[in-house]
Amino acid sequence: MGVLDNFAIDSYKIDGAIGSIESIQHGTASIGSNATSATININSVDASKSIVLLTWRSEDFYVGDMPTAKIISNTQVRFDRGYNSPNFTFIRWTVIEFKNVRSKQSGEAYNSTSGQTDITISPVNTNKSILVGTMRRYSSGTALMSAIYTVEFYSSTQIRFTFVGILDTYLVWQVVEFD
Amino acid sequence: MIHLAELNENNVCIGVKTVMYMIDDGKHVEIPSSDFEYYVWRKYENGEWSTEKYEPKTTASLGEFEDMQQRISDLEAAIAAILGGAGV
Repeated sequence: MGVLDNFAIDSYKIDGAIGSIESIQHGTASIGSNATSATININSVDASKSIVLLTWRSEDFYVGDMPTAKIISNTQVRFDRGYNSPNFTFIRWTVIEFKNVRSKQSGEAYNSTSGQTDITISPVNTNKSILVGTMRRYSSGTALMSAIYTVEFYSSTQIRFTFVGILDTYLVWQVVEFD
Repeated sequence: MIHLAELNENNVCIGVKTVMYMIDDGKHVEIPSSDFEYYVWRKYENGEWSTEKYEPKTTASLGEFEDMQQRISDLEAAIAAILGGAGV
C-alpha cells in the first residue's frame, strides 16, 4: 500500500485567541474502487498531540464503504474501509494539533462476536478529554443500521463502542486529555 | 507512552493501543509499535509472536446479516398484509 491520494490541503496556524490549538489542516481523500485503504501526506504535526476527524460519502452505499481514520506518523494519515467495494469512498478530513495536551492515547480493536466493545485505556479526566471513534465493517450489505454506532467514555479507564449486528468490525479510537 | 497488544482468550491479538501505563489485566502485552496490521491475529506464546496469523472465521458471511434483516422485514410485511387482509 502506497500513498494513494494527496489532494490539496488547507492549513492554518492558530495563535492568540484559540490558545489550545496549534494548527488545523483540512483536506480531501478517497479510497478507490476495489481498494480498502488510502494514505495521505499532511503538513507535519506532533502526532502525540493531534487528532483526525472525518466525514465521508460513497457513490452508492455499502456498509463496507464506511472508513476509519488514524494518524500513523507526524506527516501521514491512513484511511481504511472494511470491504473492497466497487465504489469510491470520498473523505473530508481535518487534523487538529493541540497545545496543552496532557496525554494522547489511541488504538484499534476488532470485534466479531457482539454489538459492543469496551476498550481499556489509561485513566483520564473525562471532563478534560476528547474522544474520537471511527468504525469500519466487512460487509457488502446495504442496511443503514449496520453503519450506525456510538462511542463514549464508559468510565475514566474505558471507552465503549456500541453498534448493531455481528459483523467483522474494526474500531479506531483517539483520546486526547488536556491539562 | 507505551504500546500494547490486547489478547483474546486464545492469546491472539485482537487490538493494539498506545496508552500511558501498562494495563495489568493479563490480556495486554507490551509491543514496540502499535502496528495493528502486523500484530492482529498473531498469537503470543512463550514470550514470542507467531508468524502465523489466526484470523477468526467470519461470524456471518458477507452481507448475510443484512440479508437476514431484509428477510425478516419482508416476512413482517407479509404477515401484516395477511393479518390486515383477514380483518377486512
